[in-house]
Amino acid sequence: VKSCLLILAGIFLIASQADAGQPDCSQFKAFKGTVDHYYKVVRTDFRPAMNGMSNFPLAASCFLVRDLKQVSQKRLRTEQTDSVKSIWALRGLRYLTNCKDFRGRLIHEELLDPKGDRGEYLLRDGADKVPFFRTWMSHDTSVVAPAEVQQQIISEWQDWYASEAATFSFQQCASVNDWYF
Amino acid sequence: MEKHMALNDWFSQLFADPKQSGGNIPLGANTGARQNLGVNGLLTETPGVALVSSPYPVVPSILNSGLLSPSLGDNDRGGPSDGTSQLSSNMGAKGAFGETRGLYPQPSFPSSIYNMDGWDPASATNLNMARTWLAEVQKRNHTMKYVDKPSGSNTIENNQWQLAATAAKNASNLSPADVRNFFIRQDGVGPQAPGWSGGSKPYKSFGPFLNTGGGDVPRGKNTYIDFYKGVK
Repeated sequence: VKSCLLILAGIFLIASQADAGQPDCSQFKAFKGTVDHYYKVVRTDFRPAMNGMSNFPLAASCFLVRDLKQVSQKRLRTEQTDSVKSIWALRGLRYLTNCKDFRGRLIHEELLDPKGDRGEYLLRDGADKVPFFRTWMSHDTSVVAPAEVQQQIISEWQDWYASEAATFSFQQCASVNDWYF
Repeated sequence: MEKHMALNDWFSQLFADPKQSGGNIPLGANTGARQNLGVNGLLTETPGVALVSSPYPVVPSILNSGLLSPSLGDNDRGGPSDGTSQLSSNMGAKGAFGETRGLYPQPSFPSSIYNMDGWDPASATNLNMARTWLAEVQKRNHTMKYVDKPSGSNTIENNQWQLAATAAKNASNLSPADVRNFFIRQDGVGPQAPGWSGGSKPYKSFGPFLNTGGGDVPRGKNTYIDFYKGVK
């Protein structure tokens, strides 16, 4: 019980820090509609929407980073993924930033079973390089990393936006395999 | 016509009432279905069944060729002496197995889904070709499900592994180099296209096959493996 409470307290602390690091996108208000439209058409027509965001990547990435939130589900079917903004925000960010991606470290190894489907996918690059999510190509379903990993990745993106985005050389990611899955 | 009716009845039983059929029992379970496999593991060709034009040998040839010898497996020695190729072939086998271990060819007469004697040769060849394409895609895109060679004595799983290993061994350049993605669907049930395709059409589809797995791809007799070309 004690260790569970400590883990929860840690997650709460990290979550608070992550909220504090959210970028201020008020200067880009005029572009918010395009990002909102992207979320609405992720199933049917996301490519034009992504290309639309590519025209003002700094503004779009501001909203996308701001939309990164912790995902409570461990596994998402295709239709469930559509409504989870964090997954599509990450895909959008990868796409706009020439496939940039951040990974997190699994601190509590017991949170992922390497022999289970979820662990097998998420631990492929090791426990210190766990992605926020991974998508099974042939079924288009996704598995999501534990909260502690998600929070690290959200913080990384927020730090990136705060310190690098303004001077970043935005470029579209060329391969679906590097931004979707 | 009688044969057609019998097959339809059998399909109905197979997918409608698991209690009356061995077909819906998950792989790995002690089904007893291994007793339905051919005694010598060989298929007999079905007269009148047209075989698809394919560089892949028909199923009976595969089974007679020795390619399914027990030596194929985690330490696949059959490929080129180059260690990288062996590793690649092995990963291709694990990928092909992980993605298709719940798939079976269409039957040519009513029998257990696990009875190789009852597999339609053209459908079995088609499925093996799909596995070869999967192994080729694995070299270009590692985003697939990998499952190790079964360690137990489950004949059904071991047989599926051998087919996947053989298919991976035959991987070369049968599929175009820009075929890097695939999707598995039950025709008319559940998702029919992946989000990552962005609305593009499949370049080539293999099927229909029987899917006993269930889960994300619903069980049924009209399972297709769609390969996509040039998705960006």
